[in-house]
Amino acid sequence: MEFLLEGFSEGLRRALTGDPEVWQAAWVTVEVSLWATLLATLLGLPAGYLLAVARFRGRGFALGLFQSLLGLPTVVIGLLVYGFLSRRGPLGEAALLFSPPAIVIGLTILAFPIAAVYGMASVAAVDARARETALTLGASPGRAAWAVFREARFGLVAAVLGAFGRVSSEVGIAMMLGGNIEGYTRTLTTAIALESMKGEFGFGVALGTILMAIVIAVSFAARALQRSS
Amino acid sequence: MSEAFRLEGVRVRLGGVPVLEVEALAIPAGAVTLLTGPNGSGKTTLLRVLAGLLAPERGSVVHMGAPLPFGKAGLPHRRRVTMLSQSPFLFSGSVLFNVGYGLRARGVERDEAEERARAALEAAGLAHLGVRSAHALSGGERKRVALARAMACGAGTLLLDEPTAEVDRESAERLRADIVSSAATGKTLVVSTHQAEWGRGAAEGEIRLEHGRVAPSPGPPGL
Repeated sequence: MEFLLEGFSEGLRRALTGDPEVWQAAWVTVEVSLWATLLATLLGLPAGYLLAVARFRGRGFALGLFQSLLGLPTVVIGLLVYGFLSRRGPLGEAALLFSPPAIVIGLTILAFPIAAVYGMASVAAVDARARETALTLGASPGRAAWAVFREARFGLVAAVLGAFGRVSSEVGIAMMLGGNIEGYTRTLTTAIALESMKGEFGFGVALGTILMAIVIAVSFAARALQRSS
Repeated sequence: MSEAFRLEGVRVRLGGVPVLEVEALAIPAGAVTLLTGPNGSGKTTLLRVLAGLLAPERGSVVHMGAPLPFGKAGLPHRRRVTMLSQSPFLFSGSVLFNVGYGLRARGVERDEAEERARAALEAAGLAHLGVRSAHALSGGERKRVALARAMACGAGTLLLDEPTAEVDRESAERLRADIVSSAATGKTLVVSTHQAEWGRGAAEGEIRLEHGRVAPSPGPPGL
């Protein structure tokens, strides 16, 4: 136990004294997680809205597919995106592999079904009269959708936070597509994996504490934003 | 008297079941028309068709001389015709926000929309409710606020679905006064109710629906 406590206090000391290795990993984690959450939200919430309000051929299939994607193993996402971005892959010329944008692409694919499915559930829970009321008061379909989102805001914020929590704690995609390059693509999760393999459990726990602090801070920030609006 | 709506050969099915079959019907402009009939007779379905919210399976619906468009193309129509549902929905937020919603949807600036919403509430005798949360209103207040919201957005035609349902007698009388005063401004009103006696004092014509069909006309508007 002692080595754990020593490692933990050493890790916290390095974090609080501005150790560049810790802070760069934290920054990369926040950066790629926020981008991936933003992209997944912009793509997933409209998809969830359509699944909830529109009636079209193939809707049941789309819903089943999105729900299945919730359980998609991260290593499979990493493998697929790796194949696309590798030098011989269809997007190889973009030279994105082992860069933060590559991690963002993988994490967006991971977060998209979360935003879509939980977004759909939140919209479906809103009184169906909300959309019809907006339409009959002269709102365009887009403005009516916004009115529905406004009514569903608590569920939608939960969906977005769920997506953020998932991507910020992910390790397989970050490792495969980022390559765990110190100061460039190393995230807190890949750093934790590395430190654990080196036997630095305490430091890993300290990094995990920082990761949890980030997730909690984002959650409280979202809640404060929600209250102020 | 000119026609606000003309329907010919309209059929609506919901879940495969025919709920409205109208061979021919005209509704006058600038007047209050009462839509009566028992529960399930198709009153709400007819109003939703007139509002552009429900496309009929077949038949034509003409509003002010032009075919009524449905779907995305129906936005201009939905800005001329507003429907107040039997159990109106009020958005989260203040009463003032709700009453100004239709104006904001039409591109009116926030300050002006708020000012006009205040005036609409004042005219409806509801100025004291402006800052109150819409979810803290009584059933009668909700109906009156929803009516004020429908009137504030400036639509020339109002479709009111059972406005007196779930409200007490005093609120029902206030609603009738609101309807009469809006009719006086030249608006076209189609008011569905199963309390025909309540509406007859305000309406100039009556259409009766039974089993989704127009019954032999008790008043001037039905063809």
